Amino acid sequence: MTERDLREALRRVPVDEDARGRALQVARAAYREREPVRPRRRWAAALAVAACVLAAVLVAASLNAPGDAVARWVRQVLGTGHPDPKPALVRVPGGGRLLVSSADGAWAVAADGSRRRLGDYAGVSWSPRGLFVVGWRGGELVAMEPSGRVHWSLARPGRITAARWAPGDGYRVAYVSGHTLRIVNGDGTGDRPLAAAARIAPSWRPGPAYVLAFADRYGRVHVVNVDTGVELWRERPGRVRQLAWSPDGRRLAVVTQRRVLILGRNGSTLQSRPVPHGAVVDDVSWSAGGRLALVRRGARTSEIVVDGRAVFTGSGRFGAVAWSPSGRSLLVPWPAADQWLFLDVDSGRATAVANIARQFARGPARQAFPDAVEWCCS
Amino acid sequence: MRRAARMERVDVAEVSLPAAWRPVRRASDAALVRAAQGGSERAVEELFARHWPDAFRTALLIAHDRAAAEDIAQEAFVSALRALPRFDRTRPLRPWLHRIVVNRAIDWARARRLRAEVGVEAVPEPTAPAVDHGLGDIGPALARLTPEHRAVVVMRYLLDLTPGEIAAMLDLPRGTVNSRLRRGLDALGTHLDETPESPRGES
Repeated sequence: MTERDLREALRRVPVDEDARGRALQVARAAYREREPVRPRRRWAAALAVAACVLAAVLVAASLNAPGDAVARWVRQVLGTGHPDPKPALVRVPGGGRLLVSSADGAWAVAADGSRRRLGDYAGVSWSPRGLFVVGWRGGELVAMEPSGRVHWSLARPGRITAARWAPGDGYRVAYVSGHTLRIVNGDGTGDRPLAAAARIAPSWRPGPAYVLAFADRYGRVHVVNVDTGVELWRERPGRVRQLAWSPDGRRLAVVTQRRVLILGRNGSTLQSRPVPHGAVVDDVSWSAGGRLALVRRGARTSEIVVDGRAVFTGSGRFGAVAWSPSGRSLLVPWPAADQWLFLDVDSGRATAVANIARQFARGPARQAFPDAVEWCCS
Repeated sequence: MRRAARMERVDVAEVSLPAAWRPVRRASDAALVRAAQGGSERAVEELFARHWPDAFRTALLIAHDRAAAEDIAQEAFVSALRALPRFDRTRPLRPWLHRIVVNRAIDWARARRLRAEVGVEAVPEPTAPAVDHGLGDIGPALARLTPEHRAVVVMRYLLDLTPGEIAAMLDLPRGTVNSRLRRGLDALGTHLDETPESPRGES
């Protein structure tokens, strides 16, 4: 083979036209979403100085008696905390049990508000009927009872970032280790890799077959039957932040940086809601009745949106929301206020519980606000 | 006859071709980058059309996986477009773009070699029939090379880069590039039962 033959052989490699079309679409989208080069603002420095002066005045004012009134006024205007919160969690409003995770570990909370620390887990998730809990920390995956009694555990070289128990009989657990999506049977046997994946939680489709939606690192969503290995469909919505199947298995919510997509069972796009410029959708959650709640974060405030309607707004960010088993109320972790809100989404009434970080602390010096909650069956 | 000739002259003088039909000089990459920085989506599409085929072929020839090649080339374009507002227009676009593609493809091929358990092919149940990646006769021979050797061969003979340019793009000494090129060609020749002629004027 001559040098010329080699060049021609390399040039003969065909270019995939479908791939070209898909890539062009993604490239166009990336171009439209590029960060604009902002012109320098002449007044930015002056505004920053003014903000500092205002902050200093407020701090000084809050140090004397009339200042207390100013501080209360600012607190109400900024909405940092629901007024008249209950001082402690003495029962779970609406019933059911909670699984709670913070940077400092995981807890199981019974309906009467009693808490049991499960351990130093980075995250935890319920089995379908709440009989078991799957927890993960580092490269370890653990199946345990809500009492903390461990049934089995396995270790992987890659850091585990999410695990989800299959609905129905719960005889499969999907988890992400490193950049690999793996499947293990509910009794801890048959651990096996399924595919390369992004480090976000996969979502099981409710139904008789073990069908799983997961995202890869290239902005694609795959829906796969994990037992046959058959890929049912895949879509490329862009970099995925979260996936969630509706309880009837007919809709898949896909959150990307720019959009919230509702895809049908076969991958068709049923809805595409743009995320407003400057906002981020931090979490989505389906109620048992099929209502979709979004946590939308802006520059200073966050809001809870249920079926397209904002039902609550507060300062700072909210944690991952959890629907009650009845689907009537929503638990909203609110770190800036150190509160959990139990929102009745129809009436708009809220019950707040304060001092959350202290109640889930390992000690006075170690308080980490638990901002991830799963709410399970009674 | 005279009348017909006059009519013809009038036609030629009065008809002006639509802008899209006029022969236009091919814009340089730098001009397209400038237009794209100014917001022209058509310039982006022209840059894409110009550089996608080589980006895809390069990724495919190094990674030896069609799906991965699509992802790698696409990611390279996305990275390039996101960085476009900050791109220095005095630098040539093509080597910059292909540098991203080559490095990502080498990383991908290395990772697959190191973590053989990752990927759908590792699932015990049959998932899909074996895929022909459409690399032709050269495919099996290239597959025998390491990703690093494949990369220099592809950069030299597909992208027509000089060893000096390859060395600069991969942050390697020029001698290393030449030796990889020599070994890669020898291995290719051995596999194809015919040693390629020695490339001249490359060192």
